[in-house]
Amino acid sequence: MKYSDELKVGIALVVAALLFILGLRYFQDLPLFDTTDGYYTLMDNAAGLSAGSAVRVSGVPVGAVRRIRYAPDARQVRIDFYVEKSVDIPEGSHIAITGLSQLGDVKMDLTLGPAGRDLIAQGEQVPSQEEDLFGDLAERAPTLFNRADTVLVGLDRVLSGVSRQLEQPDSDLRRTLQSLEETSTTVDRLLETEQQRLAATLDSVAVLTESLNRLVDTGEENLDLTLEDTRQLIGRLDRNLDSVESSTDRLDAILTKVENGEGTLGLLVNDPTLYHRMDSTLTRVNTLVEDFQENPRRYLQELKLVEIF
Amino acid sequence: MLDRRFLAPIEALGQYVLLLTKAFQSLNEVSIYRKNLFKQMVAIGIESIPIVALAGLFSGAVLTVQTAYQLESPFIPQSIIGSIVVPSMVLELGAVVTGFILAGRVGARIAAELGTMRVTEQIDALEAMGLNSIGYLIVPRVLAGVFMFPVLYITATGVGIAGGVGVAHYGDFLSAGEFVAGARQFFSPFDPMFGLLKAFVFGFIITSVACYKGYYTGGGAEGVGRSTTEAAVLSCVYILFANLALAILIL
Amino acid sequence: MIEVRNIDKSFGPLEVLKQVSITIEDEETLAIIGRSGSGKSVLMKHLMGLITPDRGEVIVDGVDINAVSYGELRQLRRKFGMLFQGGALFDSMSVFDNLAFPLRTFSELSEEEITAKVEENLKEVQLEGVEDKNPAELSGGMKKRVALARAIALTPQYIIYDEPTSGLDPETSNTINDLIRSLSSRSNVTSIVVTHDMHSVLTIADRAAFIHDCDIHWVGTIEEMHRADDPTLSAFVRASEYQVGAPDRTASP
Ligand SMILES: Nc1ncnc2c1ncn2[C@@H]1O[C@H](COP(=O)(O)OP(=O)(O)OP(=O)(O)O)[C@@H](O)[C@H]1O
Ligand SMILES: [Mg+2]
Repeated sequence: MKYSDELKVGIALVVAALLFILGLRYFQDLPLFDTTDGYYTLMDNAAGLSAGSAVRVSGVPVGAVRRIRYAPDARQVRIDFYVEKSVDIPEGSHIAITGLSQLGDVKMDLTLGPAGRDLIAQGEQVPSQEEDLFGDLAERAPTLFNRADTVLVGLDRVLSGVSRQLEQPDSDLRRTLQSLEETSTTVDRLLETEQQRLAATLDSVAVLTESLNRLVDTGEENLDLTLEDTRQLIGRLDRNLDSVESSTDRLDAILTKVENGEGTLGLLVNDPTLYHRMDSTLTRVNTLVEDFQENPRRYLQELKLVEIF
Repeated sequence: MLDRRFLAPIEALGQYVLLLTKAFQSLNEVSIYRKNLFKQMVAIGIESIPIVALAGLFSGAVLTVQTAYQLESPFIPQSIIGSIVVPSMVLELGAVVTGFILAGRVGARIAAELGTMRVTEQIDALEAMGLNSIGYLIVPRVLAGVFMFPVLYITATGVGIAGGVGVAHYGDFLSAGEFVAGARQFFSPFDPMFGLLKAFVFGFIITSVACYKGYYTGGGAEGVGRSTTEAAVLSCVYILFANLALAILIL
Repeated sequence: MIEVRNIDKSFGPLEVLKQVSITIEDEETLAIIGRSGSGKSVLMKHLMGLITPDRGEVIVDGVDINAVSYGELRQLRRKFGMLFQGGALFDSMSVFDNLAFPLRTFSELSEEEITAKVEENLKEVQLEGVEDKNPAELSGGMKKRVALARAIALTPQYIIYDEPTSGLDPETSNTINDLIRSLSSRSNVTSIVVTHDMHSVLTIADRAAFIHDCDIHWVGTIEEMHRADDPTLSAFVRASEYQVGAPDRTASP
């Protein structure tokens, strides 16, 4: 009887309480001795989440859900959670539910706002983020703007480069013109083939019209719809043919002007850098045109649709 | 005669509730039971730690081995064993095993002690001195039960989980890491709270039933024997009922 | 003054007391006699409210002890000291702690004063060197004397002795009787002695009450008892005297 009863009981109670708290933290994957801060968030749906679910930052568990209950006045679910004291949550942070509830593996992912901002006070609300497009866009907007910015800057640089080069004359005009000539011949040939193909297509349309005529009996509503579709198709076909025509016209005009050595393009072809670049461009245009000849269908989907009819 | 048979249990219930009411009213007379409280906490709590730890250890170990045996399948991750053993210990076995062992150890002890005091007029002697015998005898025992049962529950559960991990690890069922990972995956902090609540309730049931049986013992040594048996048996039965009632009400 | 008024008490079908009334005056010593099982101990417990009567009242110093609150009843009980028939020592405590218990609980004495008082009390009942023993290690007679020492520890106003000398050798009995007589002679002490021992009755009592057939069959002074022509009482008294070997015939007719 060295120790008093009071001491024994006290020790037992303290040890048990410690064991309980540490065990609780251990199985919740919390740091055993670090203290935590509490926050809450509101969500429309907390499906699959339960008290004890982990709260993670960048995939690392830093806390857990303490309590989930429905907040009738907000008509939302209030989720109380806590994170390690060492984790500061700045303004602009948000939290979302992730994981598959089917596997019982639901967690909360906390995305921290930019460092240096004011911190969200303990016990305050951390905005939630549920899976919706607006939120997604809002999240990505800054990166998008950034990217657009870089693109614009790059474009700017290209344009100023082009204008600088346009001012510098060069002598190697002939080769460029030759290439251009070759290109125009190829285009000519292409247009010829295309004319034949168009004729075939129009034949098909004729056949189609006949079939449609035969279909009149089966029902006017269907027919109306079909006719509408067909009209749209034909409209699109028209527009395509128009654009092919106008493209050819414009090409003609350009070539004439270049042939005459008129305007700034004359100066343009004097720049050797520009020449090389144009050369490769033209080579690529050539390849494109060849490919177009070999697989015209890939480029004329609208027509292809009509053919299938 | 038939009336009596139906009325007797209700009368007993009334007597039990009255006794507890009186005990509750004596709660503020701390000076009466303070010293006794610590003595009882040692007798009921501290001295029960070894047996409760032993029972917990074996429950956890056996549960792990049997779960591993039942779940032998290539489609189920081994960590599931941890997910099953830990909540089982925390929610059910920790509290119930402790409850059953202590119904025998503590319940019988209290009933025998108070029963003997009753039949040898020691309770009358306390009362004759002007002492509140309920406050002096019953309050510290019930309080000790309510305070120390959670301690014993934590002991049994902790040792049980440790036993489970040990058997899993050294019996080559799954590593301690997998076990813990499985346990963490489905761990809910509500479970140990519920287990703790059970321990409070069981502690109260065992000690209060044993006090009731002991305090109202009649008829000499035989009466003491009867009270002792009844205290142990009834505590077990009431623990079973309370366990079910708590599960239905709270889960 | 204790007034017992028309109390009835039965345990299930067994009637123990029927319409019992008796008044115990202050500072007197009353002997209660009667056959074994006649209800003497039950009556004594009624005096302190340890047993509640089925009917009737017990009035101590003008207070109906069964009508007051539990707190008041406990205050009243502190006026009493009771030696239980079986001793009723707390067997979880040593002899010393048994005797110190009422002092620690109800007096303001320091631990040294308590130690001194316990030793003094033990000396009074002719027991020494038993402080550290457990009640289970004592003989029946020793238990009784320790219990007596405990009953008188707080110098109560009413002392109830339930068979203080039964189971004791004649010499120790005489010592106990002397002790009871000296305690009774103190001012403001009322003693109630339950006994089978006619010798005790003759040496210590002012009055005697004879319980028979669930009732106080006869009550009177010791003088009157010897002259009484009640056949039941005479038979009881004569049987007792015969048993004790007629130690004191001076008072007999
Ligand atoms: N608690 C009790 N429950 C049931 N019956 C009781 C109880 N106490 C006493 N009795 C019965 O009451 C009767 C009187 O008992 P009591 O102890 O008063 O006798 P007594 O006069 O003191 O006898 P003795 O001289 O042997 O001590 C006995 O028949 C006893 O069986
Ligand atoms: Mg008796």
